[in-house]
Amino acid sequence: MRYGMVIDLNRCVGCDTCAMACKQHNGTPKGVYWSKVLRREKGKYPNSHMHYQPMLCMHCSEAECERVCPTGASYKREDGIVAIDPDKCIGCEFCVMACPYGARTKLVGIQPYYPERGLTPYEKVICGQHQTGVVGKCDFCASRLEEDKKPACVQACVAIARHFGDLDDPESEVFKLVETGKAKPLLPDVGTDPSVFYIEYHRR
Amino acid sequence: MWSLTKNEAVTFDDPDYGDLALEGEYEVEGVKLKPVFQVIKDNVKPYTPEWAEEITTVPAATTRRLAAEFVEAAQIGSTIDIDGFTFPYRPVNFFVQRGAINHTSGTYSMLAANIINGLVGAADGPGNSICQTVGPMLEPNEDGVVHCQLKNTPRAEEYIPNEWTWPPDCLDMGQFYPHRHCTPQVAWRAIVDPEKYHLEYGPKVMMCQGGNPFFNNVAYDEIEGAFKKIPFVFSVAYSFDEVTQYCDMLLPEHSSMERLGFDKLHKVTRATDDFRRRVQGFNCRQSVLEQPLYNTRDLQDITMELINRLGLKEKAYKQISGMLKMMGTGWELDPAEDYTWGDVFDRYLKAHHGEKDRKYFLEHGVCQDWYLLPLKETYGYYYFPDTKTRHPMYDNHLRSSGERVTKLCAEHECQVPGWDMDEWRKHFEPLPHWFITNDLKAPEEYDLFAVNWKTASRAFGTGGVDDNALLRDMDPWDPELNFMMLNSGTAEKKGLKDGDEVICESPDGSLGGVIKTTELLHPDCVGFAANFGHRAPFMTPFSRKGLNYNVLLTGADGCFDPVSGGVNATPQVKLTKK
Repeated sequence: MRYGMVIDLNRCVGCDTCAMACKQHNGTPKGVYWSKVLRREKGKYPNSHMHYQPMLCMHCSEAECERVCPTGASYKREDGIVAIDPDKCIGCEFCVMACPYGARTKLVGIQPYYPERGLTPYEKVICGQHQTGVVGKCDFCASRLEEDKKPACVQACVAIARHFGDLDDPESEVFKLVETGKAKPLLPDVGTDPSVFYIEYHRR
Repeated sequence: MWSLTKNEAVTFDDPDYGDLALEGEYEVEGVKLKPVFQVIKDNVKPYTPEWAEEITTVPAATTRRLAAEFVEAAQIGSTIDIDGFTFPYRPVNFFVQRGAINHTSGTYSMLAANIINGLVGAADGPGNSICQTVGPMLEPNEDGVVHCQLKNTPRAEEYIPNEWTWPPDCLDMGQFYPHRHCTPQVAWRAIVDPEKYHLEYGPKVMMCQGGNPFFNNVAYDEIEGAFKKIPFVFSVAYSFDEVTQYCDMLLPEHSSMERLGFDKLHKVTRATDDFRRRVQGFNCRQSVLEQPLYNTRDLQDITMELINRLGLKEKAYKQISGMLKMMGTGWELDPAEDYTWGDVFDRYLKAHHGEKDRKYFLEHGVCQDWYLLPLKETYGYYYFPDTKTRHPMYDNHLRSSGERVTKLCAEHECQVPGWDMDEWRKHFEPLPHWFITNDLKAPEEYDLFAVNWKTASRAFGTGGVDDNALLRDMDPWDPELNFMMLNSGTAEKKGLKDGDEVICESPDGSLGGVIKTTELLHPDCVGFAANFGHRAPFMTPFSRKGLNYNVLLTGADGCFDPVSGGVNATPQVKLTKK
């Protein structure tokens, strides 16, 4: 089994709902994004458009983060998810530097959204689950998967741009999308064999 | 209709009308008349694609291509079966929104779109523009012309003009702007100078809740003047925004996570899928906390207490019971009793959902017995198919309203305050026509148009997005936000580059900001994404970041659309490097 995701860039509208759903489910503190959307203008006026590139951990089969981790904190689960054991992480940030996708963030401290007032009661509850001094990242919402729910970003996507499932299951939607050859990984040349694929944007 | 077969005028329901004339001129009872298609054709004759290209810079060839593609895509003559009912199938829609209609002559943009949709038969059917409310709203009158049934529904005034009252009985001058959605820009001036606006009274008390005209309207100084003039102003507020700065009293309100709200699921047509058009049910929002964090209350509870304290129970309870359709159910509100909003909620549930009370909703979240309307019943055409309702190709009611108000003004020896009556009347014609409106007459030095748009996650300032900590934290990810966007070619011509601090000035206001060049914007425009930039000192610091586009706009009399009430959202501006 290998969990994976296919994101259709033709459907993404750059609304950040995925980023917000991720923050709400995972309670990542201010400035920390396990899921985000990068934007870049392409073309010259009047033949120009905004390109949206949703980003998250690619859950690579050949994960550089796992390879460089000196303590074994970064590890690959049997279901293909690249996870972090916070109790083993020493915050050396080798993995942050090694990740070609900028998916990892070391939580130095929890900054309040309202600096003049300190942490709100909500922040205390939702951000309190994160250990400072260790690295965090997307885990495909593993806790939701245990409840047979999709990752929060997939569930929340208003444009139905995200598809999630088992890349090893020929009956799964993600398997079929990858099989078409239209879904490609990001930076394939770095040899990390990601589990997140993108259907390229084609201007109509 | 003129029957070519009979060579005579026929009524719309004549079963033997035969071939109908689209063009030409015919005499009926001594009067020369043209079929509507000929009238429209004559009206648009001067407005060629080449004429439009000079104003808009859209190449004439592009306009012609779009027109051809629109007609081709309309698939005129095709049908579609839905739930066993055959509809005409016209999968096209010329849909105008803020960018097109928030101009002083914006109503004419809407009329043009309506006419183009109507010409290909794309109205109230699958794939095209549909009525804003589901149901048999398009009943014909005795002449077979659609007679809108939207009275007492939101935005009904767009179809059914406000009645004339004298002296005026509302601050925003609804009798002078009979189809306006709202004209708050007029109300502020009327509060400051009631005599000029023919008012015999001025408000003594104002209750504010849920809105922030300082942030969302135009002419900050005029709003400030109105707030200062009213002797007692109080606000039910969640944050210390601009409105609260001008209030005599604040009543602190629950946050959105603490509120109790309930609403019937209205069948709305502007939805992302057909579920919202079909569903008939109920939703409720309940606090995520057992107790509120601070000494705040629900707006509705504050309102219920005000009703009690002001001795308005008899009237208000009747209105609430009527509004919630509880009359005659045994659960209507009894003026002998006092209720909290939670009590009203309970009674509403019992009136409409039997034993499913608030406790049920707390346990189950939603009412499961909703009913889905068959899809075919969500289209207006279903109720009045074929020739049962005629849709007018031009808006004759506009001319009627214009003539009516002009006549009544003459009778009362007044005019629409601040307007030249000839200029005002230009806006009340049944077919669109082009003219230079007052707000497009800025001196030549104002060489750009300022434009403003929603981003995918920020619908201007709606929903408090400007004050949402999580969203504002994400600002840096979106290069559009908090900058003045300028076409890179235009920037080069003006000697500007990324990061330059500039002043953007319209004839009515100015705004300082930082340039970001882009390839996404027309060379004649400077762009502002969403709406930010609060001024209130007690709001969170991030709320004060960004640009408040509205300071560039005007709502002056004579400078807004007197039909819709909309202000021009595309002012002429100039940029000056700091």
